[in-house]
Amino acid sequence: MATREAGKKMIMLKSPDGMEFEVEEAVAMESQTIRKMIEDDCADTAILIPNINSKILSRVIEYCNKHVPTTGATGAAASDTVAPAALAEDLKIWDAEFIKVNRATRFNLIQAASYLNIKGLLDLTSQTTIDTISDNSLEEIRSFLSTKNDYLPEEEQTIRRENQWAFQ
Amino acid sequence: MKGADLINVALPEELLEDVLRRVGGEKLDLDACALVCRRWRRLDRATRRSAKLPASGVHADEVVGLFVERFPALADVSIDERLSADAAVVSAPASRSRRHVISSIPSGSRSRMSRVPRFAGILFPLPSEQTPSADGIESFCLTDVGLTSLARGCKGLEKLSLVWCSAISSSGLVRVAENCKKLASLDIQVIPCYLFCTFCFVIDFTTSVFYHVCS
Repeated sequence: MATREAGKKMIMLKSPDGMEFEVEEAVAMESQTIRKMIEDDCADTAILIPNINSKILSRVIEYCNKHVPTTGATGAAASDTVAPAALAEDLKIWDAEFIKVNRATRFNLIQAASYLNIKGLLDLTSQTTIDTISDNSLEEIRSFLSTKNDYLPEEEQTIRRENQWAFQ
Repeated sequence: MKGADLINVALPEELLEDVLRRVGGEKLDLDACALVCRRWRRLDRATRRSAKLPASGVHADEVVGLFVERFPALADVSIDERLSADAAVVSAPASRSRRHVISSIPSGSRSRMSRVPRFAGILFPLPSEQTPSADGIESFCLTDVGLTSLARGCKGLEKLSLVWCSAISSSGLVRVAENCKKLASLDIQVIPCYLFCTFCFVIDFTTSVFYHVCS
């Protein structure tokens, strides 16, 4: 494959709303789904990503761009001087900033990360969602996650009682 | 947030399940999830893997039976006689009257339970029919009835700890062995009051060897 020579092979990603994103192959391959397509030679130069609109796809690409291994095909030698621990710390801070999005976007990102099979992004988005659960009241959880309470009051009481059957 | 249920709309079943799996095994967090909405409760019930259940109190068998009915995916269960089932049940008369309750032994299972189990001779020299817990009616703690509900309800059980469960007998354990084919670890801790010493029977199902450890 042509990836080895220049290390800068570009891949075109298309969202269903007609936007096209040109990304380095190494960046696109952060997604295991796309990696598989490329490795199986199912992708020429353009890949249509169904179900993920351009707004979400651009965020996903932003994430992949940041997370693509620096020692990879891009050959970015500059970051070799930075200690790996500092690099990881830097990524963590970047992730925390990246995930400061509204809830709808975050849930769409979970969906996209799952479809594109980007483990890091799926972990980040799911964990951020789940982190709101511990140490918060039920009302807070419902409002953080924007879930609709479909319980009748007595049903909720029953669940509360059943929760007492088991111990911690 | 009425009418704006974003997460449930955005995430299909398996993805929401994946998200909820990240809650970890923390009971309080899982309980909170179950209270969020019906869908979350259904997912919690279908996927929860570990539980610590009470073994003392007149309702112990009932509570274990009802719990197992709701959580069929349990793989790691600890039943402890130092914990009482009564507090939870006494405060729940409404739910019990509305729901299907396993409060007595079905006649079929009773006759099956009195059969001499295959391993009885190995585990305990006495025939299992003579154990006082077999009738299960006047017991104040978990008996073979509760243990049998657990065995039948949780076929995927991998790890079972019975702490001080004084009223169970080998028939209950045989039900577990018969139903829970994935069981890899069974830890039984018995405290005979006159000795005040812990006897641990650890049974390794892969080799069918019964260990007896005194700590």
